[in-house]
Amino acid sequence: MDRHLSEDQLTRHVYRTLTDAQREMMDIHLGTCQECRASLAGHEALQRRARYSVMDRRRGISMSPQASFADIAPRLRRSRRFATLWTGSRQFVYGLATLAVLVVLAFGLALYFRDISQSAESMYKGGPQRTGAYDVKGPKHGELLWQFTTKSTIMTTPVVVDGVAYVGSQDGFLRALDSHTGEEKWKFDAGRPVLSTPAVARGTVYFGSGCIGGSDYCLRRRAGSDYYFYALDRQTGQEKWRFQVGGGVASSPLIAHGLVYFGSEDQHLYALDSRTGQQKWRFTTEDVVWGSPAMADGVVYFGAGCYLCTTSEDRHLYAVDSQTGREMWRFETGDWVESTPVVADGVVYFGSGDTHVYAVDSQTGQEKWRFKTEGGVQDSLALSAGVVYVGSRDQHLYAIDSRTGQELWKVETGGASLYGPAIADGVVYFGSNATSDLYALDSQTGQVLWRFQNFVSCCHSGGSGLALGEGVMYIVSDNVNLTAVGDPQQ
Amino acid sequence: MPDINALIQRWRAGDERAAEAIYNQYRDSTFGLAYTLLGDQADAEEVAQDSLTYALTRIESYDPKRARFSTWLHTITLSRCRNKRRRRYLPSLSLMAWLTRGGDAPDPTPGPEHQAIRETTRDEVWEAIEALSPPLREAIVLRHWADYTYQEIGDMLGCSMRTAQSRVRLAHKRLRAILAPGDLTILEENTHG
Repeated sequence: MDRHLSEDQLTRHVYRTLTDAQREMMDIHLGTCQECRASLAGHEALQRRARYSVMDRRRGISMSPQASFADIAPRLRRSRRFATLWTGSRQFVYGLATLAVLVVLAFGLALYFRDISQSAESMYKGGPQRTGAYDVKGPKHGELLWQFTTKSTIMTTPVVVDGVAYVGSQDGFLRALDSHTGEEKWKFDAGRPVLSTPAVARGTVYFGSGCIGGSDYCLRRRAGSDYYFYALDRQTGQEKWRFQVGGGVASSPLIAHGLVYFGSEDQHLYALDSRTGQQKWRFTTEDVVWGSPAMADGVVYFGAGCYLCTTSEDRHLYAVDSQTGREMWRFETGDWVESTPVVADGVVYFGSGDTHVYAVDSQTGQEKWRFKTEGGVQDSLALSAGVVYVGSRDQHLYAIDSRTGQELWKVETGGASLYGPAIADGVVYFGSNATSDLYALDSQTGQVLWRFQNFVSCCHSGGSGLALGEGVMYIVSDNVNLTAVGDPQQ
Repeated sequence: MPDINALIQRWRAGDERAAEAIYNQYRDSTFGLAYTLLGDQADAEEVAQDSLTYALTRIESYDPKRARFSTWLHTITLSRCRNKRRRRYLPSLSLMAWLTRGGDAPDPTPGPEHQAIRETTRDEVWEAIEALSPPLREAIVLRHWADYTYQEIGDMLGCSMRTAQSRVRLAHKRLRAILAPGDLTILEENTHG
């Protein structure tokens, strides 16, 4: 080390903030450099003087005798008394505080789970896309679990959520049944037939009623000409609001983004505020809107016309903006479009009275393919794993490749009307009113896995009539029964 | 001198005489530190009383494994000195003084008696220490005042040991810069003499 020591090095030396090695190196230099020794002496002198000055402050002055322990003793005693009191009551206070925290926690959890249960929802065909595919393990057996019998024809498909099944019937009642036992929890009298399969969302059950086509039943009841769409409290069945419609409602509601959508016999598709029932917009068609709307990517899809209409004035599938009701496109078929569309992966699939199944681009409305059957295609489409399953009035169930429109397999159903299909875990479930049988098929091959005979008998056309739960199928049988079929002990 | 840990145990058990013994043992050092940092007798006494009261009432929270009692007490004292200094510099004007503006305002300059004391005991190095910024002044005072280790100084100031070392060195450099070259020469001459 030939250079002179820096000010910083000298300061570090004086204040002993060097490592032993650094100190040793510096000491070697100091041994040979008189100039640095002189500098170090100056630093040491200042350090000693600073130390002296600080210590001198201690020596130079002392606390006045008036300041004593007696001055602070009262405060210490008060503090000690409080500490003693606190020690004595600490257990009690802690217990009280713990109790309070637990109460608040329990209250919060109750609210949370209430909210969770309130947020549970269920819609026709499994949700807004109406695929008919359920994320459950479907039943592996056809055992009868329970049966609920009404005095009137059940007109809707059951909708099941949180242990409650909701169904509507021709006598004007919407019923809530325990989905495990079939016991009635409550019923609501709508005054006229309930054909609209209910939808459940945010603690509310939505459905419409009406005498579609002015049936004899309605004429006998002299039900008048007012038609309503209802919102009920899901737990109690109490009415939240009702909305007057110009015609009967067979369409099952769709709930999304705070709005509820449904079609009516009055030739409109409605969008209402789901909380208040205020109309946001309505879209006018040329015929009844019998089927149920589907939704994907902010667009609502629905058809117009119906099988029972003698001549259908409207033969279109419509795509409208879900927020404004503005038409995006329309696709013309050869006859009524009663089928509820299925939307998935940018394609809308639907059937028509002209005997075709169509696949069109969901954004542009351009046809991708069409598949011909020998009968009209009503509300009997489902989609799962790239396969469209279609029941036709030609008494067949078809499996079609969703990408190409090619037939994969078909089975004979023996009747024009079909329950389902519904799909879960690679199994296709459907019922045929002609053979009165209920089927479970392998979705890949169409092979019958099991069959429940002499069971179904209905002329039902208000919906698919079949819903799936964990190991159980809910289906309308013999017109007046809601029946749970499935695995025992489920 | 009684063992401080034994006194603390007795005070925790409720023996007020033990509290008084602790008070008497640390009274002067606490006041001394406060006075060194504040430079005002009344303020230092107030801080000392307050620090001792706080330490004795919070004796349950003192952990002998973490620090010596004196270090813990002087950390409290240091904190109160800072509060006192902060309050002292807050601008304040009494309502009455504001209402009777133009009246006699207190003269902030020291009186003749105080001035005379200051003249006779003039200490250039201490004046330079007083001119340091509070963090540097605290560091160098603690270093010289009770021979605290750099680790203890760091603990008391709420900084690392290296920062404590750095502050002490920086204080030393500032003192050299503040003091006139003549003062330093005199210091060095006295040393050699």
